[in-house]
Amino acid sequence: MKLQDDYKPYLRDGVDAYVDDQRLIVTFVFLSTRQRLQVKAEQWLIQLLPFFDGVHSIAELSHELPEIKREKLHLFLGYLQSKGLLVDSEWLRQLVFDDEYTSSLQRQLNFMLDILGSPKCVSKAQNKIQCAQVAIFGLGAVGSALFLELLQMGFQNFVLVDGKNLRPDSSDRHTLPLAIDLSLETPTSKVDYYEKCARTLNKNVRIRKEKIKLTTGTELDTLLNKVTFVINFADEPYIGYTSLRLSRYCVENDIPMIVGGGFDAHLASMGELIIPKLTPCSDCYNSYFQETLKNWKPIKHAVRDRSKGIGGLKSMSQFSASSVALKVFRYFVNTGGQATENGGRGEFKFRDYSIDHFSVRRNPNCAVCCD
Amino acid sequence: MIDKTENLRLRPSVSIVSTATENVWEFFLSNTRQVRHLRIRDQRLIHLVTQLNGTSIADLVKEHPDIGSEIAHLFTALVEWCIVEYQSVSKTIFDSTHYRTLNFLSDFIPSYALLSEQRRFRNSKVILIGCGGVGSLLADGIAAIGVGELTLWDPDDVKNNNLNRGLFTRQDVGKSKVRVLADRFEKLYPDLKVTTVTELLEQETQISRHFGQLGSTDLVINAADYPNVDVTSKLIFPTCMNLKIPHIVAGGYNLHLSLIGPTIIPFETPCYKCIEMGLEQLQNEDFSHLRKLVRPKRNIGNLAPLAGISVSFTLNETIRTLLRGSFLYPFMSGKRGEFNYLSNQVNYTTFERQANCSWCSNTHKHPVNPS
Repeated sequence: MKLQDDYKPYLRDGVDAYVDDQRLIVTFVFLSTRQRLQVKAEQWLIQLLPFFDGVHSIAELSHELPEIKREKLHLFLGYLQSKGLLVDSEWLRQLVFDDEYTSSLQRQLNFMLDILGSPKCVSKAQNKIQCAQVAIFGLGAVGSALFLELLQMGFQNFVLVDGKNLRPDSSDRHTLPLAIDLSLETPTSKVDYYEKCARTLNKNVRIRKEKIKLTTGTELDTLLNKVTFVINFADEPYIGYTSLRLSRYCVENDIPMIVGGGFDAHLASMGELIIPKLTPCSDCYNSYFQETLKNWKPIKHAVRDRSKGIGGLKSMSQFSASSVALKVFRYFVNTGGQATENGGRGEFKFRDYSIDHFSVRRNPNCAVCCD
Repeated sequence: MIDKTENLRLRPSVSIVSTATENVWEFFLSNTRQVRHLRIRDQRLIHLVTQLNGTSIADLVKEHPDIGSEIAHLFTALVEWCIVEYQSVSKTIFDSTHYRTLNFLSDFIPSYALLSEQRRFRNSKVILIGCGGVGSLLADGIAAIGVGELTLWDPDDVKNNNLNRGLFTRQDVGKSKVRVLADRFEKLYPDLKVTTVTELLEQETQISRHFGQLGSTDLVINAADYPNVDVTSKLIFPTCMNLKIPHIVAGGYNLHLSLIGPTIIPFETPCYKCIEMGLEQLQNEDFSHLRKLVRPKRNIGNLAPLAGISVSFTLNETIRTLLRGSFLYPFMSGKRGEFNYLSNQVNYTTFERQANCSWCSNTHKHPVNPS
């Protein structure tokens, strides 16, 4: 589609441009993703780049140019636009969201523009985020930090499932945006506290609170009614059990799900994304680990009650929460490519700041996710 | 130094697994996923280790005099390697609101030193410059590990577009960032002493004046990105070098959404100047012959989880720097890392101390600002 003469091209904010004046090559660097695009162009076109500032219209830019150069300018601008390098300088105001939502998210929307290339795609992806119904099982240190990041990314419909109260030691690892008395004399349920936090971030947030523990008897049809994305951090009795229960339901009902980290031996795990019929499900993971760890049998431990003997750091919880939040974001924005679609997970190691990645394939004999 | 009369127990987070190699045992430290393999030929020794739950080395030697020297040798090593712990210390950990943090650190710090190392947190004074998206979460993390004094420096009030990352809520909009955090921490962390500075950082003399007033400081973290982090770092680091204060450049700012480090220990690791020179050399290889298009007044994107990743690494470095010594040391000294949003990988660039650095080339003579 040919650009109109009153169009004011704007080289968008998240791009640096480096000019090789000898070879007449412009290297555009997308700052958020560090991706690069090289364009060879005639010198007079390169000289016009500083005027792609949202102030000068095409008519003004081409006003002294001969016809053939006008055509070339249109082609050049059309190409830059197709690569997501040009936007309307007022693009944020043209999105479908209300002013407060746009204003609090303007820097994220700029980030998304870097990745998605056009305001239309940004609007569509952010709309998916705004409309999603997300269920979070477990508001521990990682679950609560993830919940806050999802809120900050503009998610606003939640089912929060956790039957526990905050405790005096919660400040050690939980992120607590509102001041609170954590003494045992004044118990506060986690879902109540985080609902209150959510309302202070977004007045339009809608939260269904479920102060329960996920058990074999939990009626998932009711609990997950209208839910479009499930996140599981519930580690009682243990994460493997709760994940199997939820994953079987999600695969059957075609609901994507993430199993988060943060639990014993997986303090900074990057989580497993389960997209029904596309990635491995929790049963696939279960069979994979049963096979991989079949010879790994710890000797019975001398200490019977090990509950307060397990470690954790706020920084590790934060890493786990943020990396899961990135997976959720990538899923909704649909930019994950292989990182989204492949099975497996990563584990960050405090000792040398490396990340162990391992991949898991779908089990061709899985009774849950394979036809 | 190990006290052989202290009762020991196998740490609850450690698993012992037999391996396929005869007499070789795996000790898995689950908090940090570290593995140590030991060849233990005498079955009686491994039996004593697996049953260890409240016996001292002295008593074990007394009960098994025929293998007394082996017991003393092995169990001393197990304490040093953080596989077993003093029962008295485990009781202190059990009663602490920081039990998660203490258990985590116990993977690196032997039991006999753990509590004295924790006291180093309590006796520490940290200055955090910049309390925005990254800084506010960092401040909370620093407070949560039990630091004694924290100075928060930021001139800004909370704005609506600060709400998409960090620790602020709608009810904080219009209030001073440092005041909001100080008020919150007063309730959450009553033992923490907080001071605030609300000056706009423009000159190096402000740093030296305030640092002089604040007295001896153990760590300075720069999370201030106005006008950009290079400018603020250049204002901050000379005073840190002069006063020999370790300092960390935190990421999360424009163009470096998920930047990690560096951590600088004056006259011990590459300084800010060395790293700047190293970066110039690297950049020269890429863009030295290119002309950068000047584009003022840009609004660059960001994303809550990328800020979270930066916070996570900086908090790890805070812990390592405050406790640096025999057991821990900053990992990011002489390094910068970038977390890749698309691949979930971290890439580190290493820098050396530069022979022609105006600070580091003449370290023994005068730690004063060479400019």
